[in-house]
Amino acid sequence: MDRRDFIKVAGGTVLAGTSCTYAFRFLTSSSMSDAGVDSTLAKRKWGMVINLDKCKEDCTACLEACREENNVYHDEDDRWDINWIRKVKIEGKIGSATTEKTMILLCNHCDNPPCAQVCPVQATYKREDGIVIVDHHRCIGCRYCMIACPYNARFFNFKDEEHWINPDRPKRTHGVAESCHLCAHRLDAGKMPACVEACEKIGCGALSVGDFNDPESNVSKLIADNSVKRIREDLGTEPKVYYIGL
Amino acid sequence: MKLEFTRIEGNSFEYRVMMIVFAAFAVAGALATWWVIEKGIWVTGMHNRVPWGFLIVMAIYYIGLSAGSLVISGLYGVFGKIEYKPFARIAVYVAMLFLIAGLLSIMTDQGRIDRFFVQPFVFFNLQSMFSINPMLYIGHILICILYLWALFYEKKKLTKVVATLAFGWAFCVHTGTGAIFGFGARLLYESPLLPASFVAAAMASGTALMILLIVTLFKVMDRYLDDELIFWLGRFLAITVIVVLYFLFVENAYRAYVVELRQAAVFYLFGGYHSLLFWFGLILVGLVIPLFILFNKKGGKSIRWIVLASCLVIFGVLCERYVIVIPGLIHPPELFPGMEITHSIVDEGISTYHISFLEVLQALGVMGVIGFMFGAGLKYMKLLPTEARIPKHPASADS
Amino acid sequence: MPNNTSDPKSGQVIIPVILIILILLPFGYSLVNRVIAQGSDRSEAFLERPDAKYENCIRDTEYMRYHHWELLRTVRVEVVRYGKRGDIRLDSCMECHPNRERFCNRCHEAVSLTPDCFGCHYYPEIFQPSSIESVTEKTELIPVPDTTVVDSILTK
Ligand code: SF4
Ligand code: SF4
Repeated sequence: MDRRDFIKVAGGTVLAGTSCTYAFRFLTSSSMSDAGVDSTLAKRKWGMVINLDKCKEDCTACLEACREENNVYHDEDDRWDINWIRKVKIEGKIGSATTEKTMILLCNHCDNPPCAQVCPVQATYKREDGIVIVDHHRCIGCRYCMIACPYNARFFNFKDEEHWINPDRPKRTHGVAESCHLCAHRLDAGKMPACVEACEKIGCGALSVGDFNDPESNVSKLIADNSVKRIREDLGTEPKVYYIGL
Repeated sequence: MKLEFTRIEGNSFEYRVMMIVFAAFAVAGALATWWVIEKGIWVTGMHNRVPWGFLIVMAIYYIGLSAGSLVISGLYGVFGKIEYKPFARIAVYVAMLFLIAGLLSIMTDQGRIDRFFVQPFVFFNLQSMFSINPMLYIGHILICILYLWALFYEKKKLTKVVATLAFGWAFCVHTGTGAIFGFGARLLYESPLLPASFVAAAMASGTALMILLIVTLFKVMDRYLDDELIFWLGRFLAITVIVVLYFLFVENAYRAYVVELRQAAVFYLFGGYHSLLFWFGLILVGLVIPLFILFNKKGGKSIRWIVLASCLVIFGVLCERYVIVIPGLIHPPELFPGMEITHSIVDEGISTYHISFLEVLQALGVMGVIGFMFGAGLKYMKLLPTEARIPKHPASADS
Repeated sequence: MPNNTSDPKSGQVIIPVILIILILLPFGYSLVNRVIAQGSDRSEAFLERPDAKYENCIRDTEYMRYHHWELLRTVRVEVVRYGKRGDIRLDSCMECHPNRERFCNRCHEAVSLTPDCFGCHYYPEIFQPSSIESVTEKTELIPVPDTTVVDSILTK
C-alpha cells in the first residue's frame, strides 16, 4: 500500500470516528436531552446546621443511620472505606491552652461547588435546590471531583458492594464517585434526612436540615440566633453546612 | 542533492524481535487492564486519598513527549530550517503516536471505561479542563495526520500553514494538560505557572526523545547522519533544560516564600520519597548533569554524550511528572487552619502511595501499542531519508 | 517514486485489514452475540405473564415491550436531575413482575443486551427450574425486537 493510501485510510478513520461520536450528540438529543422538565425545586435552598455543643463525643448514631439508609460501602481497610459523614477530633492551641473539639464532617453542598465545575460529563451537579448530587448513571469515574473537593468529602467506589442493607434504595457499582446527597430522596418526599432523624431519636437534636430561603424555617432561625461558622470560608466555595460552637 | 525518503525492509531478525516484544507488551497491558476492570481499580493501589496514580503520571508524560517531537518538525515546517527536513516526517508521526498513548492511558484509568466513549461526547462541560482536553487531543491527532499528509505530498504552502497550526495547537494542548493540575484546588497544584512549566518540560523531554530516536534509527539502519545536526539539537535541548530549571526554581521559591504555602513547600522539598525523586531524579540526574554534559566542550561535541544526556533528560522529566501529580495528592487539604485533626475514621493526614506492578504493566502496554505502530510505520511509510546532510545549497535541497 | 519495499502486496493488505478489524470489533462482537442468541432456543423470548393487575400497566403492552427503556430513562433523568419523583419506579414494576430471571433477563439475553440497572437497583433474581413446558403455560412467546449497537449504547 502506498503511504498516501495509508494516510487517507487512517485520516478518514479518525475523522469518521470522531465526527460520528460528536454527531451522536445530535442524533440522540431528542431522547437524551434534559430540557423541558420544569422543576419545582427552585424555590428551596437546603442546608444544614450542626450544633456541636449538643453532639455527644462517642455517639455514632448518624453515621450508622447514613450507612443503613444509603447502602454506603464499608471496607475493613480505611483506604477504601466510604464515609459520607464522619466524625473527627480536632486539636488547636490558643496561647498555651489546648482546645479539643469533636467535629462532624460531610459534604458541604457548596454554593460554588468546585467538584461540579470540574466534572467532565456533568455527572456531579448542583440541583436547583442547592443539593450537590452525583448522577451515578453518568459518572465515568475520572475522579477529578475528588481532587477538586477541598473538604475531602468525596469518595470513590473502588470495590463492589456485596450485601444490600436497604433494598428500597439503590447501591453503587464500582467505578463511580459519590458523596453525601443530603438524602435528597427523603427531602423530596417531605421527610428529614436519615442522620437528622437518628440524632433526634436518641434525643440530641444536634443536626437540623432546612430551607435557607424561608426566613421562618428552623435553620434560618438557628443561624440568626447563634454565632455560626463554616469550614474554610476563605476558599469562596460558600458551604451550606453551618456549625454552632466551632 | 535530492532528499529521498524510503521505507525499511522490515525483514531482519532484530525488527521482528522488536515487533514481537512490543506486541507482547501490548498484550500484557491489555490483560492487566482487563484484570483491573474485573476486580475494580483498587488493585492498582489507588485509594480515596490518592485517587490518581501512575497512569495519569504516564498520560501527561506521553502528552509532553508528543509536544517536543512536534517542535522538532516545526523547525522545518514553521521556521523553514531546511536542514531539519529529514526529521520532519518522523517527528510528526511520533508526536501523533504519543498523543494516542496519552489518550489510551487516560482511557484505561477511568472507573467506567464502558461509558468513556459515550458520555464525554454527549454531555460536555466546558468549565472542566477534563472535558476540554480530550477535544484538544483529538484535534491534535487530526492535525498531525493532515500535517503528515502535507509532508508526504511535499505540499509546501499547506505544510507551512498546517505546521503553524499544529505548533499553536500543541501549545494549547500542553497548556490545557498543565491546567488540569494548575487550576485544581489542591495546595500543591494550584499555580498559574504550572501550565507554562509543563510546556517547557514537554519540550525538553520531546527534544531528548527525538535525539535518542534519530541517532538510534540512523545507526541501526546504517544511514548517514550529519553530526552537526545533532549538535545543534543538543544545544536546543540545553536551552529547554535551563528553562525548565528556571520555572522549577520560581515555582518552588514562591511556595517557600509565601507564608501560607511554606509548610507545603517543606513537605514537597524535604518530606518523603518524592523529595528524593525531586532532588536526585529530576534536578540532579535529569537536569543538572545533562546541562554539564551539553555545555562541556567535549560532551557537546560527542554524539554518545549527547545521547546519554538525552536519556537522562527523558528520565528526569518522568520524575518531574511524578512529582507534579503524586505529592499534590498525598499532601492533605487543610480543613482547619491552625488546628490539627487528631483522630478520624478516614486518613486525614499525609497519605501514602506506591506504584503497583499492574500499573507498570498497563503503562508498558500503552508503550507496546505505540511501539508496534511505530515499527509498522517505519515499514509501510517513507518516514526516514536515506541520508541526512546539511545541504551545501539550501535552495536546491528542497526541490 | 521508487518503491523499496520487498513485498508491497503484504503491505497493501495488512494495514487496511487491521484497521477495518479494529473498527468493526464492537459491531462484530454484538453481531456474533446476536447470532448465537438467535441460534439458541431463546431466540423467541418467553416472558412471564403476571397473574393479576395485568390491565393496570402504566403503558400498553406493545409500548412496554419495545420502549420501556426509553420510559425508564426519562423517568431516571426526571428523578435524579430534577427531583420529580412520580409513581413510576422499578419497585412498582416488581409488583406485577416479581421475577427478574424470567421477566427481564430472558428478553435481554435474547437480544444480547446487558443493561446496568441491576448493579445498583434492587430487583430480586429468583432462579427457578426452567422446564420449557411449565414455563410456557404461564408465559407468552414474543418476537425478539430488533436492536442495534446504538441501542445497546443508549441503554447505558
Ligand atoms: S464539599 Fe466537596 S463534594 Fe461537597 S459540594 Fe463542596 S466541593 Fe463538592
Ligand atoms: S468521578 Fe464521576 S462525578 Fe467525579 S468528576 Fe469524574 S465523572 Fe464527574
